[in-house]
Amino acid sequence: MGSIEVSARWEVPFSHDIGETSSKFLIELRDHARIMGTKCPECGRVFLPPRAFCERCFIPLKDHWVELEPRGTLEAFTIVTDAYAPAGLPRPPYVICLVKLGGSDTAIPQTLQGLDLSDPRRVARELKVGAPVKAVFKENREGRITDFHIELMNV
Amino acid sequence: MAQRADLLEIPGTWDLPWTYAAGEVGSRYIEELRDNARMMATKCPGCGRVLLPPKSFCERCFVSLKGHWVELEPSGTLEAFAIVTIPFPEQREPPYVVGYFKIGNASTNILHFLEGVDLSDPDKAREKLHIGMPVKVIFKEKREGRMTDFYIVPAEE
Repeated sequence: MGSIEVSARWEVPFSHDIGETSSKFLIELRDHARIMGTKCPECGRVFLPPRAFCERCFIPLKDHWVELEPRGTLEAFTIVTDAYAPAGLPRPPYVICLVKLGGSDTAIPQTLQGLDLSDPRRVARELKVGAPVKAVFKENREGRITDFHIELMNV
Repeated sequence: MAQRADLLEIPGTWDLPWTYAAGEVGSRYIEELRDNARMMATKCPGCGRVLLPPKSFCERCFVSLKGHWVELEPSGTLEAFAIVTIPFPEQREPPYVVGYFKIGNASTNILHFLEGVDLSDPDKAREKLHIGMPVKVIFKEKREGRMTDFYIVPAEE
């Protein structure tokens, strides 16, 4: 009863057209190894990742770019110990974090690297929200969010 | 559109493995195809409708159709069709014909491939096909418990 099962797989290729604002963000990472946010001239908030407009003031931020210091604070983190299917994800264990960089008002997701993850529970106990972090750029950058990663400041 | 160096496109792929469990009714339907080369449907004792593919209950009468199986004649009519001329991921090589078919005295249509049509000129093939044309069900020699254990061909010719 109910013994028939059919297995298959869908391979779905796609192309993500990321738009003007995110393109400039990634191109600045790639060509100048710098982190650019947008700043609302009305409320003064700094957005990272950069937004095309301020959703509070309804002001386009196209020409309101600011360079951010590649340092900031750890706002949240998750230690991932399971493998997920999508190509491009690191092999577990790895750490995903949200960080605020250079005084930005919003946090950006990124990988937190340079930690000894042989004992994930110990890392979970010792890692603290609010810890100072820095952005580290790769030598070979290709215009992807993976052109940089986050490391703790004092290791 | 002209390429703009200040705009980036990021390619990606989702690779999604999945397993479909046919359930009790769907499994019996497919097992009957495989083991007995016959087309079985369920029939509602309330409204009398014959459901193909078979359903486990009548969604009009809310009557369980467990134990209400009927065998259908392996012939019917073409109710709708499309000649597919472009490739889709994980699908067969075009051109091919997908159709809705009313089989036996079923009240509902079944989706399947229409084979045995010369598709060397898809426009000409389209003229030969028409809604309402008689078709018949052909069972394969080697059946493995899949919907593709049978296919549909025009009854004429």
